[in-house]
Amino acid sequence: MIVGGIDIGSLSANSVIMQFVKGSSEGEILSYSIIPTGVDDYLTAKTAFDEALKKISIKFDDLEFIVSTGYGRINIPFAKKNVTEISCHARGAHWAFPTARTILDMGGQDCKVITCDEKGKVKSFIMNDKCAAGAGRSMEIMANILDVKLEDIGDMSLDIKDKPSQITSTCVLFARSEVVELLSKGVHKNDILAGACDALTHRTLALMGRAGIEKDFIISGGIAKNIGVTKRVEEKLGVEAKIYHEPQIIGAIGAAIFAHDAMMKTKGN
Amino acid sequence: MFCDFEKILEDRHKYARELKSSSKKNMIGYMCSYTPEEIIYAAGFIPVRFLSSEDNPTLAETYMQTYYCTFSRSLLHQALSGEIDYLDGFVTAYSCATMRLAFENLQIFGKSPYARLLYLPGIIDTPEAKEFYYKELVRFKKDMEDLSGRVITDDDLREAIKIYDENRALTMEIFEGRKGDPPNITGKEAFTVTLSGMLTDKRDHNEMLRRLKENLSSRDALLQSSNRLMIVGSPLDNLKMFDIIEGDGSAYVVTDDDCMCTRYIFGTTPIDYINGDPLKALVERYLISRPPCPSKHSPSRYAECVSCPFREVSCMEMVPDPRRKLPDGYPFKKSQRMCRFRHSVKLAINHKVEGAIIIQQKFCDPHGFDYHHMVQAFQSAGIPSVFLEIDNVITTGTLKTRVQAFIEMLEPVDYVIEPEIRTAIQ
Repeated sequence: MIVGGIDIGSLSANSVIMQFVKGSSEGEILSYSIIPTGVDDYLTAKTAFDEALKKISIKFDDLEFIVSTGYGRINIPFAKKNVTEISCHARGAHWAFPTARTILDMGGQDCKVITCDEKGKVKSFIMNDKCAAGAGRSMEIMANILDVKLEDIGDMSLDIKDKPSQITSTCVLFARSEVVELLSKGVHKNDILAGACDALTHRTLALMGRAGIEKDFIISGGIAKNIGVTKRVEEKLGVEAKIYHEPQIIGAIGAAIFAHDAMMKTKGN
Repeated sequence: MFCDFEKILEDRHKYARELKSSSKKNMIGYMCSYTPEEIIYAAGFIPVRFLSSEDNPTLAETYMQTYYCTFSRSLLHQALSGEIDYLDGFVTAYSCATMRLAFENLQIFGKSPYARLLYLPGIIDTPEAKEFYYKELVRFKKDMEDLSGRVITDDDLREAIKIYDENRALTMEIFEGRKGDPPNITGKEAFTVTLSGMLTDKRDHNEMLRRLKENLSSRDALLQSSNRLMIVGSPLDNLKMFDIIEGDGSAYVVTDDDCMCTRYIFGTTPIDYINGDPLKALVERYLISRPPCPSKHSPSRYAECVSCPFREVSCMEMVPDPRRKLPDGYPFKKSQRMCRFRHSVKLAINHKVEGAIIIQQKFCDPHGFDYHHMVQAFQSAGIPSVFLEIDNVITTGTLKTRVQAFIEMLEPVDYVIEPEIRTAIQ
């Protein structure tokens, strides 16, 4: 049984194609893709699947059931069902790590803390709601203005030259102008990046404080690839985080598992 | 079935202007639901409640910082913009400091012929507070007499109280249908009923309610398999919120503790008082009978409630989880005070609520302060809750995600309530 999950986030769209052996709930990933989100959700979703299908000998029509998730989940005609990214991240994290109980999902435009039970069902969740300062978008803005590669931010931020800069954690636009000022004062890029990662970590910790943490603790979403943030979160919480080798597709994995669930349900009926 | 009610809300300013010319009555605008409308009504005026609008409250921002709630800024903006110039005066009871600030700016800069702030202490259920509010009402009655040029007799007040109590009773009867499974009216319809009542002559509204009651008896049931939700929190007067929650039929709001709906209509005037001094009766109704606003309700004070055996924990423990065994000694001696948390959880249990949506108007201090206690109160009854922050403009994006995720996580609740608990929480 081959199913698909598509997670259309604010910055990236991630597709996952999974295969389930008949009568088993153990799924395996056949292929996946990560592409930037375009203006048209439908086209983005289609492209994401085409990218993933390119790598394997399966056609789009072979996908028996597709579930969509993420901000763009509503407008996907070929998705037979949509499920929120909150439920999908819990389910996906549970698939990757069956011991997962708390998931910190740091995405492009928001940040969520989700707690789940031993089956991967959501027990509670909190989302940040003030501004993109607690999310991936702020890191892109930092990379852009400091002229560094997004993937280099993590290592650079850990290689502090003097001391981490103080950067506001409540508004990404204010943070941006603070960075311009720091640059003009001749502060080293690494120290500014350390400050930016500190600010993002601070925002995350405020959410974690309200949600409470139960082990195992998983970090998912694009920011999970930024070691500058994940190391700081682990340090401040005193808890080791488990991170899937491709943390950005956790939501799409969850969607694919929901697709399998939905199929089993229809067949059962 | 609800068109008459919806018509009032469609363009409330247009409706008010038409009503004013057809009824030949003057209109007094008020903000807070602690304002005793009965006195305004007894003077021959139509009380009209201020509701927020989705317009940017730019004019208010000259006087109020953007870190005050948009609800208060929107009210001031409308008063300054002339949108509500059909009103012949303004009054409000002092609820929270932000609303007071908005009102005082309206008094100074609003060019209104009449504007009075009725003072109200922070704690309202003491003899001193009652005496204080009584004196405010005496002054306010005098104002209304001067403004209308007629004497308000005790019988005028009694007549107004009768009409208002009838309005409350009729609405509560209609809301009984929300207890059904499925409910026979949606949350949106319930709010439409109460909101429209705040904008029209209560005598006419009573007629509309009577017709509605009759029509509802022949109404088809709503969708069956849907989750039963409750709304608590800051004043919600933007019905778009219900399109987000109830839009796809996967959930219905079956009850609420909101100033724009049940908190406005719950609590009739104590009958023993009406035959005596009607102003005293009003004091009792507004300060004691109705469910309190968090701006007048102190969690710490209620945790010390003498009748609460769990006072070292909190008084909300007085409502036990209906699916668990009763604690020893239940039911406990009833408190004289109306506890907001106990009230909300009681409503939830009586309506078989599966999840509570706690709505917080951005920067609403009173609801922000008691949020934590409210969550605990629901937890003590085994009811999950979710927090939603709203502004005067309701956008679907993340709100929809939160609500949908909350509905996805709800477990079907087996609401088999032990008969003795059923009696205790009635």
